[in-house]
Parts: sequence; structure tokens; C-alpha cells
Amino acid sequence: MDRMTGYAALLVLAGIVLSGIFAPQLAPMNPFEPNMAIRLQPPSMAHLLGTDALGRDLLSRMLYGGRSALLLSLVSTLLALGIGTLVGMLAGYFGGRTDAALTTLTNIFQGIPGISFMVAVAGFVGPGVTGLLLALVAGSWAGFSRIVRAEVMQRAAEPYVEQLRVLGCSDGRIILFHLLPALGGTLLVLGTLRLGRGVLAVAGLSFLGLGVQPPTPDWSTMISDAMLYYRQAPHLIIVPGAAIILLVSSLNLVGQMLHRRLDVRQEVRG
Amino acid sequence: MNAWQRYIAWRLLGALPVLFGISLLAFILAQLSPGDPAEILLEGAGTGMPSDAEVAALRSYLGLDAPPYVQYGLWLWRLLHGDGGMSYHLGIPVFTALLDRLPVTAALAGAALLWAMAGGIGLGLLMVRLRGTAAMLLRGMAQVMLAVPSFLTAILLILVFGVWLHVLPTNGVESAAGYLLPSLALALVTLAMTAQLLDAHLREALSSLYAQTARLRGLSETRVLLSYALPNALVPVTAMLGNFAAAVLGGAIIVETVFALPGIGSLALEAIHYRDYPLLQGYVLFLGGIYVLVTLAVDLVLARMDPRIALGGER
Amino acid sequence: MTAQENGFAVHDLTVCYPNGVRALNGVSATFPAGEVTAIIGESGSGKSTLGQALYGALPAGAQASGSIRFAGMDVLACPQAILRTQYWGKQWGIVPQLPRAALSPVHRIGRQLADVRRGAGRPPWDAAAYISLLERFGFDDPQRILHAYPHELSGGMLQRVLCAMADAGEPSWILADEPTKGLDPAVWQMVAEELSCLAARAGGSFLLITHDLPLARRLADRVVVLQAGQIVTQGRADEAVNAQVEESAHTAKREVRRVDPVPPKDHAVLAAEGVTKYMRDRRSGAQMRVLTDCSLTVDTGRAVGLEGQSGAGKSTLVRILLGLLPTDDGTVRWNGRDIAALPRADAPAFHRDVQLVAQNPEQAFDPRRSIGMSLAEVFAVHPILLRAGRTKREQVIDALSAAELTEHILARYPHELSGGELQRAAIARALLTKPRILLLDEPTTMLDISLQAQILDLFLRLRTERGLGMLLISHEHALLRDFADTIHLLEAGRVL
Repeated sequence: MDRMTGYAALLVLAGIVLSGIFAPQLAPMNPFEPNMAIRLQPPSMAHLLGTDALGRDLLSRMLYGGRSALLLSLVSTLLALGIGTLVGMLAGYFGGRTDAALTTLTNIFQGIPGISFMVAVAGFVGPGVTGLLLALVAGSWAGFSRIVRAEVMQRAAEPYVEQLRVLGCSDGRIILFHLLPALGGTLLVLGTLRLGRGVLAVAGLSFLGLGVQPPTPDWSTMISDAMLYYRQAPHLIIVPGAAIILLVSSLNLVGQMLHRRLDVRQEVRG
Repeated sequence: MNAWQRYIAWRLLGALPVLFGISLLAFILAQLSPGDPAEILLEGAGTGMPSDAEVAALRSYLGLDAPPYVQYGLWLWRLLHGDGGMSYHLGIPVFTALLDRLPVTAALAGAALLWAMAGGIGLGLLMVRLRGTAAMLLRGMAQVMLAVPSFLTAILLILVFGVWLHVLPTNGVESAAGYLLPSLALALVTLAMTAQLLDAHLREALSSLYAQTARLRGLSETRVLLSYALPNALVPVTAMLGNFAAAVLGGAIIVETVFALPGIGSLALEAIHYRDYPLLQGYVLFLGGIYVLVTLAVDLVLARMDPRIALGGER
Repeated sequence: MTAQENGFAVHDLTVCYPNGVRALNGVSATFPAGEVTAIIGESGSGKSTLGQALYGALPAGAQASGSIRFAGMDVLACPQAILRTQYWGKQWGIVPQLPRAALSPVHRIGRQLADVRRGAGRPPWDAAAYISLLERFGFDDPQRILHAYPHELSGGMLQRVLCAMADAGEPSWILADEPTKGLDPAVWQMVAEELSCLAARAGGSFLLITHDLPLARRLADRVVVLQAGQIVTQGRADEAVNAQVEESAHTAKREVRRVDPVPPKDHAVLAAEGVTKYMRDRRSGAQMRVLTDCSLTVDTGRAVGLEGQSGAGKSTLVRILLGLLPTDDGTVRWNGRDIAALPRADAPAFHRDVQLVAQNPEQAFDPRRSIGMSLAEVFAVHPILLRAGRTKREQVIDALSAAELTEHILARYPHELSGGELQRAAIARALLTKPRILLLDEPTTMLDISLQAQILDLFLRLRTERGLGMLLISHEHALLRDFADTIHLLEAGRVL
């Protein structure tokens, strides 16, 4: 049962990603051009999902709308993962003063939790993609670093690592060829799980106006724009909302599936 | 001083460099950001475009002319004397501004924590106890709850309970009931995560050797679940809820915006809009302080819950 | 009820696990009440499964056929709810395996004891009753034990607590699963005492699952021997059965030969001089002196033994000799040179010259790499080994055959191999660097008895053929006596 949901989620995710990539080819109409004559229309044959407050075709805007959230989440997760792994690895492997210094650094960045930090950073640097990216990375790398550090400390204490040192392996060799590959699975799972949270974060920030700027279509800004018209055109809120939920849950499910696979493999390999 | 007091003192001392780092970080970010607070203030006063002279005068008054390290040094000096500086756009001391809004945020955070704890633990226990379709439905529900951004939850709750059903207030904080919807919106994702985490750890605990031994000693499954599995499984859950508490005490910006609650989060948003550096720095520092206190409290609680956790160390 | 009726009668029991493994195959045996029956076998023989089956506690997914009768009831057919309310904890008590894992880490001992009473459906005791229970089991400070958490007590104490717990329920049958695994000799004595005490109090109805033959000999009236899921012998535990049992379990044991020291081809020496080491105790944070003024020398061609109980600091000394830990006082000299002062360029030569075979073969290799990859890595670290004109492959095969292994092991992963094979592979890896001195840290402790002799034989042969110097560390005096020319004793941090 779990396996089926995992594969279904993978399918949905692929669908969303592909429709985002091929949005220019798939979109029936121009998502940017306003047409005040046909605004706030319910779903019809001409406009499968209806039109928004500026008369733009909702379906076309929906196809474009997931791109920025997904892309931003992906890039920020990769960057955060990279930084977090580097810091965590050094702290966990070398211990002592290096660890103390790096942990203080991690604490500083982790001391301002979640959304608040991201808003503060985005606010400081100004609305737009750069600020958003900076905010996302700054707010999430510390969490990764902590987890990586814990795992590195555990693995570096295993007897075979000591054996490798006895054989004459250098620290660099042990880190690059033994510890890093061993972390690979965990990093993959962490990253995938984080992608879902990243999309939520981007959505929240965009909703506040601190993220993706108009006229770029984005599901969250579409929702905030549609709040005024909830009586006349509730579908303007529901459709993008459903899309966000679908995207995030499929990311989460895929992440959980990877997690299960990884656990099984670790049990076998030891 | 006993071990607990010593530990607390050591933690607080260790937090100082972190707080220092946070304040420095906030200051650097402020310096990096575009926009001139003097200009923004004058434009906002509504008397048309300010002249260069006016801007320069205001800048000088606000101390924005001095080099960055002087500005920071000054700010730090004042801070150590208990003065958080003056908010540019509010004209009142930063600490006063923060403290004014604190009760609302604290109430919201408390309610959200209750939702997450009670809802999460309850749901988690149900997920483990029930079988078949019921359990599957609960799991599916938790999955969906995890995927809804807080602003969407907030909007949907307003639509359902405020507009269509007209049962709960959706604006402001006149009554305690006014906190019900916003706190739920805030807590929903964490509620689901708590339930899932608890579910996973309960399963692990239930299949452990000590649980099996307890069964073989004749104890009922309920007792094994509640008496043996739950206390063991709650430890990682508490850690997660602790993170959540620290996060929501820092102000729930999105939820406060949607429900128009005058909390610290919406104050921060204002500060961003006005480039009100002192207020923003005070806010960031406040967040850091909250984080330090809350994580300390959580660690103390965890040490109580799991006797293997030595104070100040891992297991 | 007669002894037969209140006992267990197993008839043609077969147990299969979902992964296809058949743990028990057509086993038939009787376990009369009032007698201590020992179920004996090596790991994998099915003895744990038999114990679980008797109590109706087979893991989910296990398929069982045949019958197990107890007092007129078929255990296999009985629903779990009935077993739980009428038998588990009530008539049937247990002393589970792995004391640390069998107790909840977040509850105090006293609380868990009280739960035993509750599970047994018996009226709760007051504090005095628990204290006298613990006193009966030889505890000096029962109050402290009752208030303690499991992690505060040593493994041996926990094992005895479990024995006391089994008694608290006042059952008529007790099942003890490997109660003496990994215990020090002193604690072993106490536990054996308590087990026989326990057996007496339960009216003598006792099931002992163990591979510890001396324990079985001491406690058992009857014996059931299992091997690969089938019964090999069963019957009264008299002299004849005992002898037969010992013989079947030790078929592979060979004599360990004494060897005269061989003059080495080229000489190397590893010496510790006046080594002192302090370590910080993790819990109390206090500095402890682990090693005090230790001196010992290992020359090529000679075998030195180091004997000591666990915790005496043997592993610490080994790490110091290998240069993994710094000394607080004293030096380690390799061919006269202080290893702490070695220039970086010379460090690889030291590592090549002095190698280690450690205690846990299962953990000696990176689990993500095949044995072949792990062995090949040695050449990546020491490219100088390839310069002498012999290919990588030739050297690897040489080392493998010296360790009595064949090429097919190269493609395997660590988790696919047995402890014995892994240890040999570790030896092969150590030999690749052509060391002149081998440090052996309890290399056979984790292996089955039958393998221990083989591995020791191997070491002796290597010593003769290659003139290697060896330091063997063990807590078994007999082993060292057969192996080493000189034996040092490590006690309380000093070398004698």
C-alpha cells in the first residue's frame, strides 16, 4: 500500500514538473495578457479553469505558476545541503575546537527560526528572487548541518574508520571516499523532505509579497490576489491551493519512500 | 549550586556569543539592504518628495551618517544599558514596541502549542491503535495536513468557520475565541508532523524488546502502549515541539497578517516595510533570545523525561 | 497434576519464517514440570525459536505446524488474548535476553518490578517486600537499585535484576534465555547461583536456553541439544550425555601448536616506554589514569602476550602503540624513533610496518565496499607497494592465500560473510602492507570456539613463515599461554 502511494506520488510529481517545464508549449493562452472583458469567469469550454480578476486564463497561469516555487525550492535546498554538509562534516569529524566554533556558527543561524528569519532576510535584501534564495538558504542550512554532524560523529566512531587510519588513510581520504558516500542516502532523503518544506516557505513568502513578483504567475500570489473575490470566484483560491497541496504532498511522499528504501538498505549493509 | 543550576548558568553564558553573532548578522543584513529609511519616512509623511537637504538632516538626526562599525558599536553600547534604540517609524523605544505586542503573540503561540501537542499526540496514538481503513484514512489526513501552507489553512478556516458558518470571529482579538482559528492555522502542519513522528516512534517502541518483555509479563496492550511505549516515544516528539514553540513565539507573521492580529510578527512586517532598522534589529535579537530560552527549557524537560540524557551531553 | 501434565510436550514442531528460513524442523521433545531442562545449541540452531514457540510468542509472520501441549491446552492454537491473560507473567515467567534492551530506559527499576506483579495479576507489594526480594538475590543496596534507572547499572547487575523480576511474579514455570551471555567470570557465578535459586522457587520447572555448557552442566536435570533446527540429543543430563554434548560441539577444535621463536630476516621493534595516559570519564567528567608507566616491547620473530580483564586499558594501549592516541607521558618508539616526532613523510612507512587485527571482524570493513575494493584501497594509500614490480592482483592473491582465503571473496560484501571469513580478510588486508609487526587486539573473542583455534594457528604459521613480531591481547590466560613467548599482565593500568 505504502509502495503504491509512493509511486503514485512520484507520478504526480513528474506530472507537475513536466507541465512546468513545458508550460510554454502546453498553455492554451497567454498567461500575461489582461482582458478586462472576460474577467472572473467560471470554468467553461473556452477557459477550462475560468479566468482571473484581470481576465487571464487560469489554466495557462496555473501551468506557469508552479515553476518558480519548485525551482527556487530546488536550488535553495541544494545550496543549503551543500553548505550544511560541509560545515557538519568538518564539525563532526574533527571535533574539538573546530566543532565548538562551527556549532556556535550553526546556532547563530538556527537561532532565528523558520519563517521569521526568512522574512527578515527577504525584507532586508528586498523583495525578489535573490532575497528569497538568500533567505531560504540562510534559514535552512543550519538544520542540515546539525543532522550531518550527528551522523558523521556516529560513523566516524565506527571501528572500520579506525582501521582505515591504522592502514595509513589520510583524513581527507576517509572523509571523501568513505564518510561522504555513506551520508549519500541520508542527504538524498533530507533534501527531498526539505523540498516540500521549501515550497511551503516560498509560498508563504510570496503570499506576503516578499517573493516572486508580478507579473510572473505564481500559485501563492494568485491566492493572495484572489482573496478579494472569494464570493464571486472561489475557484481562484481553490485551484491554486489544491495545486500547492498536491505538489508538497507528492514531494513529502516521495521523500518518505526514499527514506524507507534507505532504511532497508542500511539494515542490510550494516 | 546544584547540577541543574550550574547547567542553566553554563547554557546562558554560552548563549552570549550566539546572541552577539545574531545581532551582528542582523546589523550586516540591515546595512546590505536597499532603501534609505530617512527617505522612506519622509515620503510616508505625505508631503511629496523630500528634498536632499531634508533627507540629509533626518539621516544625521537618526545617526545614519556614521560609519557602520560606529553605528553598531553605538547600538551595542546602548543595548547593554537596556536601551534597544528608538523605532524610526513608531517613534517609541524598540523594547516598548515589542513588549506591547508580546501578549498577543504569546497567547497565539500558547494556543498553537496546545493544538499541536494535544492534536498531535492524540492523532498519533489513534494512528497506532487503529487498524485497517480507519488508520489509513488518518494517515492520509495527516499527509494532506502536512502539505497545506499556513496562509491557505488560514484562508480556508476563515471561509468555512467565519464566513459560511459564521461561528467564529476571524478578525482581531476581542475575545478568547478570536485565537481559536489563527492558532489552529498556525499549528496544523506541526500537528501532522507530531502525529507522524509519534506514530513512527511508537511503532518502534512497541516492537522493542522491552515492550515484548512487558507483554510476556502479562501486561495488557493498552498498558504497554501508554505506560511503556509512549514515554519512550515522546522524547523526540518533545524536541520537535520545542522547535515549534521557539518558532511561533517569534511571531507568526503570515497568520497574523491574514487574521489581522496585532502581534510581533506583523510588527516585523511593518518594520521591513519602513526599513526601520532599530526595530528590525531588536526583533531579530528578540527572536534569538527566545530561541536560547526555549531550547534551554526544552533541554531541561528532555533531561527529565529521559534519564539517559546527561545534562549538557548527548546520550 | 502429574509432572507430565503440567509440563510442555512438543510434537513434530516445524517453524518457518517469512524469508524462507526453516528455524525448526520436526522437533519433538518433552519438558516435564519440576525439572530444569536446558536447550542447548550454537547460534542459528533454533533454540531461541523453540523457546519462543513454547510460550506462544513467535514473531508475527512465523508459520508453525505441529503441536505444543501444556496442561491440556495447545499453545499454538491458543489466541494471544488468552495467553496474555492467563499464562504470560502468571504461570509462565521469563528471564529475557539482553538485559539492557529488555528494560524500559525511562522507568526506574522499582516501577518495572511493580509492573511484574501487576502483570502477574498478584496483589501489589509494599517497599519492604521488594527490598527483601532484592536481598534474597544478593543485592547489597536494594534501595538504590529500586530507585535506579537501567542505564545506571552494569550489565551484570541488570541480569541479576531480571532474575529477581522473574521471581517477583511467583510463576510456576520460568524460561531463561541466554542469561549468561557476555558476563565476567565473577558475575557469572552470582547469576548461576541465582538461576538455581530461581529454579528451586519455581518448583523446579525451568527452561534454560543457552550455549554456555558449564551453566547447563551446573543447572540442568535434562538436556535437549539442537543443531540446524533439529534435535541431536535429548535425555538426562548425566555424565554420558554431557560428554557427548561437548564432543559434538567441539568437533572442529584442534590443538594449538607451540612454536619456537624464529630469527627474523630483518629486524624491527615497537616499544612502549613509560607510557602514561589520562582519559576523561564521560559521565562524571573526572580525569582518570588509565595507564601508568607502561613499558613493553615487541620484536620481530617473537610473540608477546598481554593479558588483562575488560576495562583494564588494553585497547587504549593498543591505540597508543599505533599512534592513534597521544601519550600524556612516556614515548612509543618504532625502531628507536619516537612516533610522535615522526616527520609526515615517514608516517606511511610506520603504518605499513605496524598493522592491526582487531576484535570485531564484522566492523572492520566499510560496509559499502566489497572486500576487493577495500583491499585495493591499500594500494591507493601506499602506492609504493606497486613499485617493486608485482602487480596489485598478485599481491592481493598472495595475501589472501596466506590468510587461507580464495579469490571468490573479493566480490563479496562484508554483510555477506561470516565472522571467521571477515577476520581472515582483515588479516589479509593487514598483510598487504608487508608489516613486520602485527598487533592483535582480542582477534578471536567474537568468534565461535571452533574458529578460535584455526585463527590462532594461522597467526602462528605467519609468524614462522614471515618472522613477524606479534602482540596478542586477550583476557584468556590459556590462550596466551599457548601462543606467546612472554606474557605481560595489564592490571589497573600497569604492566607487570
